[in-house]
Amino acid sequence: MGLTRYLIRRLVFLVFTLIGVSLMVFILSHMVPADPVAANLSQANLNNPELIAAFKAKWGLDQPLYVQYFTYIKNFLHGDMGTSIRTKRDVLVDLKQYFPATIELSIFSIIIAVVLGILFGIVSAIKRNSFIDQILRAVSVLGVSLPQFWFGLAMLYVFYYKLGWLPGPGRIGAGFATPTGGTGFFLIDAMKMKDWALFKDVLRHLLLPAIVLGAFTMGLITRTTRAGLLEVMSMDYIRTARAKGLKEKAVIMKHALGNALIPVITVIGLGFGNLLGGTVVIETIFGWPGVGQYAYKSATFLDFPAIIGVSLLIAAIYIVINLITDLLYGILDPRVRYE
Amino acid sequence: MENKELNLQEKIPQTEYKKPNVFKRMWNFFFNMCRSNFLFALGAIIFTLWIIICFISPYIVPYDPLQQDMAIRFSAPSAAHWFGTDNLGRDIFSRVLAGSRISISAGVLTIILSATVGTIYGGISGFVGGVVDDVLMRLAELVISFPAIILAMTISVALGPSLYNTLLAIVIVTWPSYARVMRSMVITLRENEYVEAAKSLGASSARILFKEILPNSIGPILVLSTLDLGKNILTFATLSFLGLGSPPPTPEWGRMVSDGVKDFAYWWVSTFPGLAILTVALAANFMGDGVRDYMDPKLRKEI
Repeated sequence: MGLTRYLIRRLVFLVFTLIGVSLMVFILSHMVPADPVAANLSQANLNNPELIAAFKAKWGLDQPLYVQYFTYIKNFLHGDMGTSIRTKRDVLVDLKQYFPATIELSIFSIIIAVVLGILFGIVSAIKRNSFIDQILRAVSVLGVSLPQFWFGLAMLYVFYYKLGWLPGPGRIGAGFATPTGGTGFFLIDAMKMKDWALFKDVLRHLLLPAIVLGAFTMGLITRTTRAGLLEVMSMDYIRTARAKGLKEKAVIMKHALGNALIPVITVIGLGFGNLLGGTVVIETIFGWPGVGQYAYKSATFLDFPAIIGVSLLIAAIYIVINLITDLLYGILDPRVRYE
Repeated sequence: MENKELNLQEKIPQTEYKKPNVFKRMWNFFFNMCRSNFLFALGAIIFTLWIIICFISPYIVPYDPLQQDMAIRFSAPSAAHWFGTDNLGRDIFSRVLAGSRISISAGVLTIILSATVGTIYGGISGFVGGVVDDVLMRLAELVISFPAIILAMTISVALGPSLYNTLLAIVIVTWPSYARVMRSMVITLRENEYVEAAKSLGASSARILFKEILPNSIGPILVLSTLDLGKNILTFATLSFLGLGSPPPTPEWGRMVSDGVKDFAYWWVSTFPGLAILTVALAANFMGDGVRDYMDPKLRKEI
């Protein structure tokens, strides 16, 4: 009962946030003294008053701002997010094309961050105040202090340019055709096609940007895991477990870790949001054809239909991720009550 | 004999209890942190060094940071040019020193502005309460429910790329967390007896807010500021890297890194400004981490 009401409230909040975000970006876009008619129609069409009138009518451009906004919402609900000024294509089509690349990169990245972060955090807590703990703590602070754009360039310089161990920018090597699996997730597509050379190539392309993108989140997770584990280890039930003669490894793995990782869930959610922001820089540096690069290019081009579309998409993902982490939190920790 | 009595009387007012002012308390806290936490002390030293460089950089740069010399463009680090020269033959060491001014003050300034705006906003929201509080806080949450860098990028592009608009954009994405902290402080502190006492003495709302509640909520606001400092320096560097800072000849670390992107082989062009950003962010985060550990009593016990 409590959960259902909680869910409904959160989903209502999701809708309101999306309305707020769209309103915010919409107002921003109209602070720019640019003429959307001139930007959207070709030179030849600009001489055609009928076309101009039709375009103005479709987006309500001759109406006051709030009417324009409602027109945008109406068109949006009909699945029409407008035409990108830069690519001259439907924003929805653009987003559908670039979305999988970003999600594949983000998921791969968050997996690296979670695995390394939790591992480092456990080791750090077990060997508290030892030399290795100091090193790992320094690594975790380093992770949150690295300027991502610079770290990305440095990694490319070392592993691609100097050592040649890993491929350069892009999602796949020059020798491969774009996978035709249909999902847009190249790893899955390659698996479907049973093309293991392609799979390996995609994986190698993913590695560098994913590591760079995940460094920040990895630092956060290391920190939280260490703090959580240290807190749990001082509890009475851990003393009981030790007193009954359990091996230290069993105490940590079976008794302590489960509870220590609960706060980590929240951090993973936060980290994922950070990751989405990071894609703007990482995708630009690594020539990754994803939503982040699309957002950057649209922003510098003042391509506002595209910017509103990207903003809505990212805000939606961000809120859904936070909702999922909050729900997981409740499932894992029965003390949490939804109110 | 007479003299001694006089002295005693002079001393009496000094031994009276005096409420230490906020700055004194901050300084004592800072000093104790430096003594008890090595990484905090290290961060404080590095950060102080950079602040000093900010102030004295015009007097210590070996070359004019704007001086171009195409004859020596892309020369590798050497005794004459410690960090080498960039695509226009400018001395990178001088540019890194000079770039500290904008790159660091951008972080500090945006924190101060965000904390001020957020504190006032959250203070009003918590103090007035009711529907106003609900509306104000939903607005603040709206900004938080969005990846900061993308919002900042959109805002600064929409306003027109310039240093001030970029700073404004960073403030717009940073202030809500201060508003939230301040609001929760106000709601907690409002119930305290001394606030009741001030109220019954006829103090105005503004007086209660600024004289009773604000001085007592400065601690959490300062902690948040320390934690955000590194983040904001990085955010500014990122926006500057994307070309949203001051226009080109001005030395700015983020933009200097992007100068090296096109000419990949000359590693020193990007490396040194990047290292500068990294050291400042590390120093700020060491301090932030120290403060956070101190605030968490469970972690404090083990120190």
